Amino acid sequence: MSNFVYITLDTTAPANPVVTIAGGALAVSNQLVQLAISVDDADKTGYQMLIWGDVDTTYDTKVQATEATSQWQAYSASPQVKLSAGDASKTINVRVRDAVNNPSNVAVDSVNLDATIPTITVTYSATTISEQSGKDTFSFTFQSSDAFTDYKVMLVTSTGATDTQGTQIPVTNGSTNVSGTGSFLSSTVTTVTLKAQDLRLAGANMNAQNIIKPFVKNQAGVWSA
Amino acid sequence: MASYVLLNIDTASPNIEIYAPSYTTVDILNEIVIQANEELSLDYQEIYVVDANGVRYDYSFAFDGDSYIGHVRFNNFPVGSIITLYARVMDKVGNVSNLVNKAIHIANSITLLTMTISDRQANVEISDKGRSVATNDRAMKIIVADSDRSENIGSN
Repeated sequence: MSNFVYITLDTTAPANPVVTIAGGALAVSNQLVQLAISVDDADKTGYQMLIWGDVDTTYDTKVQATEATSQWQAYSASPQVKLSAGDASKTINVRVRDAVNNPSNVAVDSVNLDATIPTITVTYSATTISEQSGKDTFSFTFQSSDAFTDYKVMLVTSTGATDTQGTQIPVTNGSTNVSGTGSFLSSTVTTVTLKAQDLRLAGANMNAQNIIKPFVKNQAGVWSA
Repeated sequence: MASYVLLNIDTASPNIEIYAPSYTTVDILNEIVIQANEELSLDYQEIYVVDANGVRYDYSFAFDGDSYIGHVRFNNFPVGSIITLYARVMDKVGNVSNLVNKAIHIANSITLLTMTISDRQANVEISDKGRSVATNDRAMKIIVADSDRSENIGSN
């Protein structure tokens, strides 16, 4: 039996907390959004997080409007929260604490909730193509929640990118339906065909994951996010 | 539902290796594996042997995800000859690998395969350890020095 005790006095808070709403989107149309929460600490065993801000307080009892009324919960890198109703800028605050309750600084992010923004839904199966003949084509379909007058398909660098933050995919090598203008119903299913060589022209990363995002402009002139 | 697509554009050829014996006989059924570093296409394999006269013999191996496996008996090649096995495959999105090859010696009998034993003979390490006798040599010199000293003492 030992006659002593080893003890570590940990006074270091989790470093560099960051919260991102909806992949960094500037605007969302749905109250339900996904957060991305991170701190620099590699081992997050026993960590907890506290989330508060402009939320629907009935959706999650632990996530309330103020820090004092919210409750600590187990750390998650991608929790879902429901923003408070009403089109406006919404702010979410997050604090993370380690296993011995050292609290981090507060991380903050904001997003503009705008119910008028059309929502896009994409459907696709393949996730890898090449530049080899017969394997150089990728197709997906998208549908909008609203009728729309314009659409464009962009190569973007983040899932939260807006219609101005990306590169329009060209049609030089045979890509189709990468943009259009007209009168499209919300029931319209648009099939987009992309050629690897056109994605390369747009600046796609070879042998790495690329994000391709379609955008539509509704009849009020609002682009999807 | 997602509002975006995640897409990988794979332009890299698969890296492959041939796992086959360097020495065999006409009697042995050899397992040969063409192993890749990624999933392969079922649609393409180019596996063949070229004999000492430059004649090509094509083979068809069994597909196994990231490899092709074949069981081959080289009983149609002259004993004592060296054949070369070539392989080229393709990944799932059409990127073709380099053509890799491996030389295989066709021996006349299993006895010749005791060349493995001659590899063990290469354990010259054992005779290297014998050199530790050199240490003993040095020890002997010290003893000689002692005797010299005793002789000197004797002469004084």
